[in-house]
Amino acid sequence: MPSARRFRSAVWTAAVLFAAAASARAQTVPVDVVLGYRFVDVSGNENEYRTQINDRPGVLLRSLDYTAPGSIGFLDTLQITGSDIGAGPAGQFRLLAAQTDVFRLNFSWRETDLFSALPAFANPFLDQGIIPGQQTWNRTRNIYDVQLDLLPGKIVSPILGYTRNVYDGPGTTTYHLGENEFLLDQQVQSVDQLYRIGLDFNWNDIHAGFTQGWRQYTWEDVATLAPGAGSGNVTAPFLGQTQTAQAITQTEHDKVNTPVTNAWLTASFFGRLKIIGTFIKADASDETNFVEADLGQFLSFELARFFSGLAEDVSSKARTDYWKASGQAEISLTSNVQVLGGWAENSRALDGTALISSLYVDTVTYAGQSTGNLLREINAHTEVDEMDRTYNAGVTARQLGPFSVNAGWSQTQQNVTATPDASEIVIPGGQGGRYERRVNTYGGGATFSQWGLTLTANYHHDAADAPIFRTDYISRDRYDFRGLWNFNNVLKVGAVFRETQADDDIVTIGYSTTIREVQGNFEVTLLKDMLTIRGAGGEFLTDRDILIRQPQDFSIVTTQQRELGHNWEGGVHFVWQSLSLDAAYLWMNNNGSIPFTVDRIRVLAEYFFTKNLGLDFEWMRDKYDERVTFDQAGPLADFNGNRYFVGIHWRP
Amino acid sequence: MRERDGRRFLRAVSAAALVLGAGAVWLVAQTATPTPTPTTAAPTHGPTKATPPAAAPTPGAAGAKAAAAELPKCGDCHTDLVAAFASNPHARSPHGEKKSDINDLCSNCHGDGTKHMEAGGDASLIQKPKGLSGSEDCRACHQSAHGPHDSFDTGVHSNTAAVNCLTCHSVHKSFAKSPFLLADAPGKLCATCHMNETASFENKPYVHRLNRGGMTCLDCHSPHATRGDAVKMTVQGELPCLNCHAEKRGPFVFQHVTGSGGDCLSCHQPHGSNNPNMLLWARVDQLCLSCHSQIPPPKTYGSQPPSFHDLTLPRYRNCTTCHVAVHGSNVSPRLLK
Repeated sequence: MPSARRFRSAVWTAAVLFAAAASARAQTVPVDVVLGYRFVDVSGNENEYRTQINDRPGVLLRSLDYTAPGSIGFLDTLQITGSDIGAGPAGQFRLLAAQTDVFRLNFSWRETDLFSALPAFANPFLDQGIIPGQQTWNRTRNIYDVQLDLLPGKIVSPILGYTRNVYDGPGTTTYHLGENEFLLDQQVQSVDQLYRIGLDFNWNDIHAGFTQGWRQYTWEDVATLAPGAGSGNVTAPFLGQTQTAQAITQTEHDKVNTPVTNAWLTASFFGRLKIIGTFIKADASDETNFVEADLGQFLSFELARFFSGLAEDVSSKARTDYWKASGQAEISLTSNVQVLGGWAENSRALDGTALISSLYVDTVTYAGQSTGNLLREINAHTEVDEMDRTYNAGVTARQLGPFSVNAGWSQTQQNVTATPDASEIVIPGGQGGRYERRVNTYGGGATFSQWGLTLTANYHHDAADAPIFRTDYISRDRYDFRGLWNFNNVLKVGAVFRETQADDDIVTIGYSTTIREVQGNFEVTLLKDMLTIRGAGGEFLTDRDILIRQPQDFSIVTTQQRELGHNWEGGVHFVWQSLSLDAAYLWMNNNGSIPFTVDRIRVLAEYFFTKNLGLDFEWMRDKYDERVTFDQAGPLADFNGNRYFVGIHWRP
Repeated sequence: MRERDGRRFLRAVSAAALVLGAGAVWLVAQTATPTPTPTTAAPTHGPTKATPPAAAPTPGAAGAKAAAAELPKCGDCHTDLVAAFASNPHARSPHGEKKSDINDLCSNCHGDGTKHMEAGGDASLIQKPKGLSGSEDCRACHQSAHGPHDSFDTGVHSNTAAVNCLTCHSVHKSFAKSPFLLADAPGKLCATCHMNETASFENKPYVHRLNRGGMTCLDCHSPHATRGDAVKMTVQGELPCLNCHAEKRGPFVFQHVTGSGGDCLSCHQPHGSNNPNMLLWARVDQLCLSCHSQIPPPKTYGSQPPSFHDLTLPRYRNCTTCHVAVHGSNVSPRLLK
């Protein structure tokens, strides 16, 4: 976090220096900066507000743009952009510097603050009104990426690149031990780095690329019993003993190395035939070391023992061999009619081993007889082979007067083979086996566009022969209709209808899903370049059923998800001389399995005092009201979050 | 040790950013263009009437150059457009064919402007690339798309009257924050047609932070891809989720869903969601039991039932309260840690 702040400071400094330089010279500099302060006023559940919105108070560089006006020294392109840097929760900075035909340098940085403290998630005490749940996090993700293309566009163009993704910060989690669950404080850090070097080839109508990358990933996780959490979530005694913890410490260190090879080729012949080939290989090897030390009063039904401590050591290795390849041919029958056919295949083979050594300290039988320390060792071995193969063919015909049409077919074959392992959940051997599935997809679409009117219709049907997972469909239909009308840029109207129906009518599965989305909008320009009003409305429906076996009595019942939501939006955009105003009100109401209402207000006003200097004011309100239903927090989740941003907009 | 390395790296990045910032300021100071002086009299058009405005460049002495200089330059009238064009990628032709005068580039797309000038700037006498026909002009140079699976002929957005190059790209009025001369922020452009997805992001409570912090539709979608390939994969050929959520990649000794017949989308909705964890089902137990229910036949992967768990008790309603490692584990066969 401090490093991120340092980086932010650097960006800020750059912005201020830009400003200073530009104003000192009193010359035109293509800079556009919005800098200000955000005030935040939240009532209700602030944790829910932060989970959904997470706008924090503080100084905010809302926007920074710089584009060099022509050549600068050895650069003929220099572009810098940034946004939302400072108070967060998501900021970015990007730099492009290039000399045509010599090099192109791209650098980007993104920071995202990730927060979650939900009232109803992983919360065994929700019915008692205790919030939030026990699995929370307050972390930051920083992603840096830099790529240097040398001699771009030339016959041979070398590429060097580096990506770094750092995810770290505190959180809380839960741990099931000795027939109780305990709240743990957790600190994690993951660093994912990808170094890459490659060559691009461009020779007439032949283009190709080869990149060799090396991914290095590390994960460090330290979790300890949270203060005051020794009683756990279960206070009732089992067999006359309450299960409590005095200390729990877990440390995990994970390291993955993955060489990644990418190669692709496209070649055109006679302006009629285009061949595309791609190949990816990425074999990952993981090594994990895990150490745990616990102290307290615990019970294990599995061992039929009480015990007062656990010392566990896990050493594991996982390796995947992965490759993916594809080939496609596109034939142009005429300039606007193309036929294409292709094949794609990928294979992933996992081989994992874990040596789990668990020392149960001071074990005692249910009858009270001491049986001393008990060592249990599991040598787990997992193997999963997965292969997907797809063939596809299609035709597209464009510019047939106002019409365009396309039609296609594809067939996907999926194979999964899992080797049974003794460490499987509940029923040894139940997991393993070979699963196969074949899906045929037919579909097509047509577009009509004339007089500012565009109409589009698409339909696809998927037919499968068997499920691999219970939620795999056997039959699926997808419909999509869209209409847009633009009348002289004065009136714009649009509407979309989309529906997906999927089902598996095997009598023991009984899976069916309907998802329907309908949305429409309009925009009317009442006064050209001055006053525009807009509106939108829509409906969202989910209707999903499947048979499940209830684990409290093992009876078979249908579980259902029903959602019906409606949304409305109204807005106005007004410009008069140096004043511009954009305001919108958004409302959404959802009924059924997750009932809630959301009210949102968005107002952005800008007034330029001089040609170069303006004042920005922004008000954003998000009001969330949840209604009571099974396993939802209801009003405990409600919040009303108002944010006010006041800033200076400078564009010399 | 590793933490120290990380700090050291970030310090280096910070320092580099400072140096870059300072360098950029210097460059700006070196090259800041004088504020254009407005022309006092409207320039006339046509070679015989040419009266270069005061701010126009002085004609060269050489014969050919002198003859050319007698013609007014496009920038004499379209001052702002031509000035701004200096920073346009089209001002730098590929393969080293650099033009010394920006004005010489206009005819590449707008054709010969002589008649337009002679007619005093008649807008009907100059080519204005627009719509489908204008986009076909773009394709005179931009024949092949960037990625191997991108195509301007068979792509989902290949040139038609409904959607074409100039629907999303603007040569002269591009959005400063977007690459590739996009006419607006990517989210706004996509929203023109993809209203459902936009409504999902704008209205639902749990969403990816689209259009904030640099995240756009283009992070996950490729607008020029051929049909069926519109999702941008990672360099390892995975769903783009893992570009950010790298810690979910594995490999795990005890993996779950991903890499064994399923993927992120087996459980999650990628756009806006009503569920706090962006799950397909309203509740966690519904999601888990939809697969983990053994009711054969047929035998399906992962369908063995859990042991006794009383879902009427709050303790058991969220399966993930105990099975925390739902994305896979290297230490617990039951995904407990």
